[in-house]
Amino acid sequence: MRSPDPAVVQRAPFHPLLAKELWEVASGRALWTMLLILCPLVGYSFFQAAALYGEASSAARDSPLLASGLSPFDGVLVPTFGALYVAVTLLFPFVAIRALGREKETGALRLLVQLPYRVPTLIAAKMTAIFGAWLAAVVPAATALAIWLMLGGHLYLPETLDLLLGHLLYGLLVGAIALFSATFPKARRRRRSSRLRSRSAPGCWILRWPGSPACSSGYRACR
Amino acid sequence: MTVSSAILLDRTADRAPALMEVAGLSKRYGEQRALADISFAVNAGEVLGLIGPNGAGKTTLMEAVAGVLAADNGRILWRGMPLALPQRREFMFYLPDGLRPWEDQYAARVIEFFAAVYGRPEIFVADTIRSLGLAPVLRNRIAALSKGYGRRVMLALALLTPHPLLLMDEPFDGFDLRQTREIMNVLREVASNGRTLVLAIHQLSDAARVCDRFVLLAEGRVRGVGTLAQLRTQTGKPAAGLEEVFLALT
Repeated sequence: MRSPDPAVVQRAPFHPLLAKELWEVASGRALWTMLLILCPLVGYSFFQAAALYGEASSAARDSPLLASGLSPFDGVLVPTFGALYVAVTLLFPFVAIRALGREKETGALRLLVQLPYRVPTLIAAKMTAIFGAWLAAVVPAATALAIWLMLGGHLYLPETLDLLLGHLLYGLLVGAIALFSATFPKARRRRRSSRLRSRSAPGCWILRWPGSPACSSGYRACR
Repeated sequence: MTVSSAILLDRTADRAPALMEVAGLSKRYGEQRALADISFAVNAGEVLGLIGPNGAGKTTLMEAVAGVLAADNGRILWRGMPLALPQRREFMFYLPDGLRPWEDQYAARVIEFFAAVYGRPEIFVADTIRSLGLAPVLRNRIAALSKGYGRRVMLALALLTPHPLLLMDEPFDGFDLRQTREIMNVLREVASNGRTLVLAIHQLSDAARVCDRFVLLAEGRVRGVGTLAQLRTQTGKPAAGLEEVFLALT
């Protein structure tokens, strides 16, 4: 026996869904709270790093051996992005959980799953919105880089992009874990989230790009 | 009344094939039986009321029919053909009770989202907003809306969908008498334009005003199906109202 012909639209455009997800992330307090904490954190890290790097540079003016060991990447970029790393680890999960958790709590998910979107499309829209939130979180650090260039600092593009890619992958991993933990009932979410974080932590070393704080110290030591 | 006689009685009311049939639907929550062998049919263009007290199984039945909740047994037929669980959302839209979704968004934005998803023209959206009296609150956030306006926004979302069958759980909850009558008129107009409505209502007076036919539920079982006249015949009380009929059958 065959199934009846579909009565209504089976596919819907992606952009209204994406716009809705972006609005949801942007209108929540979690993102703005994270940015409020992140901006001074990154700013302070950058100015501290720039000041220390400046002192080290002036000290190395008369010592070519010391000067050869100085690099803006280790001296300025890594500490500046270190603040982003801390914020993404501690605060970004709240932004990502909200993308699904609020809809579960308010019952909006029961409407959403009835819309003509496949489940992977719904998840893709949420992950895109989370990526958008990560981009917003990167703005203070990117601004610090721009200020560094304006001050006459040097940036080597491949290693800067490498650093950004590492942070992007780490941000998406944190977002994906947070989104996954939001699928569990509220009571179990906290336990599951902390368990997931502790279990996934050993796997994060792969994503510790040469630019991340933990790796760069070892990287520097090797050199 | 047996299940088969309920369907027979249902079919004799209208010889045209039913738009949707529910056949032998059952659902248990652990040891507790929520639905037991529920069967009834819905005809195109009618307003069918699922009537029953709190805990009768109305919401479980709607969720099982809409495919939001998996039933243990039974099947749903669409014009005589079986409708698989993932396919249901293509044919019917379920509006749950007590929703307040996307609370941080403006009412207009939530309505625009649904309109954009289903490609509804502006004139249709404007007409829906006008008919539900939503114009004064379009610039308010969903969280700031009163219970009545919140309910109207939810109704607007349901009416913006193009599905031929709408399942609504307690559509008059949160409305006063005058507002209830306004919304009833809107729903009657929707039905007169060819859409089919299944409404879960626990207020019998509201149900008697708006529904063409009734499915009486109690303790997860169907106690009667048909128009008020058919139910009166069934109970042998020719002058009885819906309340008396319900009490006699449950």
